[in-house]
Amino acid sequence: MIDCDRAREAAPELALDVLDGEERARVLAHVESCPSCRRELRDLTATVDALLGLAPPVASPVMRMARPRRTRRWVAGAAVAAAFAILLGVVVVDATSHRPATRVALVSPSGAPVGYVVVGESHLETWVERPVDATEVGCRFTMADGRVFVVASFTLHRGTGWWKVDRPEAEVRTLELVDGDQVVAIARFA
Amino acid sequence: MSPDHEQLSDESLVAGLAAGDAEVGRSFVRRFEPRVVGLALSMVGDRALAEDIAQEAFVRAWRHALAYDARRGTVAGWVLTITRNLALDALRRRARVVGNDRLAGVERTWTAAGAHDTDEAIDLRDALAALPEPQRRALLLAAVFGLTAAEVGEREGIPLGTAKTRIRQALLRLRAAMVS
Repeated sequence: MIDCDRAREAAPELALDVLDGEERARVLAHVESCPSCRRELRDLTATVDALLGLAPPVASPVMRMARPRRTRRWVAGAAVAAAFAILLGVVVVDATSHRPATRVALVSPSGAPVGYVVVGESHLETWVERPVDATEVGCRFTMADGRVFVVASFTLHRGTGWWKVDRPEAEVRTLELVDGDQVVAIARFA
Repeated sequence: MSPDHEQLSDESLVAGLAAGDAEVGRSFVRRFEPRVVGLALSMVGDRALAEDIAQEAFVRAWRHALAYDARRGTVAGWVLTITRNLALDALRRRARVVGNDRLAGVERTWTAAGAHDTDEAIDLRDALAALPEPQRRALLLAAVFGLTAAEVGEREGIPLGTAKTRIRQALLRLRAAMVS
């Protein structure tokens, strides 16, 4: 059995799940019987959890879920797969039956209509209906206070697609679709 | 039309998931998919593989929703840990070489402000950015790329003890930033 000092020294690696088998077993055995080390491990694990949350989100378009390209890779049990297929089906229905309320025009840099952005309470839906010359675009917000964020990237299918992103709490001035540094389309909010 | 579950708490969504409610499942995926795909993409650096990992992560979350215990951590932490474990499995099937570009990319994107950052996330990003670079690199090599302390030491050309210390110091500093 190892002591508290050694357990605490190894606790960060255990929380990160990068400890090798034997040492891991020894530390876990100690932690089981030591409330203080257990508390420390729990705190470090919570820190790791929070750290993982810093990964930049990638808002895959709902379209991808509606038309999964790689269904052969589904390896779950049949029941679970069936349940998930129902879930994906619901998304399809949702996507096709949507009745947008407030729309803001999405235009190319030259001003040609490309699609629109639906402003929801908690989401912004971006619809690219006329093909743009890009296969993957970033979604860039410029806020009223001047801050700029690229919040996600999306794959277009033959130049078109639609997806949702969380609506920032702060006021948004523009939403741009960007391909590298090049602006593909822009929506300006009043 | 299905009821809107966007107002439900994360924990309520998991409870609905455990009950096999497909509509809740849809909301669950919508809420967490950007983060799940984002983490997987950071780790494996391949969009198609990241999406496969995300799909598998949601299937596992669905299967194991009954086992989720709110006392052991947040829902986001739970589902991201599932994702990380799957991504680590994928990484372990590949060559364990983390290029400087990949590491620098993660250092840059994980410390850049996000549009939806909570106060906790802002504090944590600031703390991550403020770490001495060797500590930040060691921590990210372990957290994002799944390297053991020995592998971190080998990659960085430092003794095992130094690698362990860097990882530990980095994590403790982030912990301190979260509780302050």
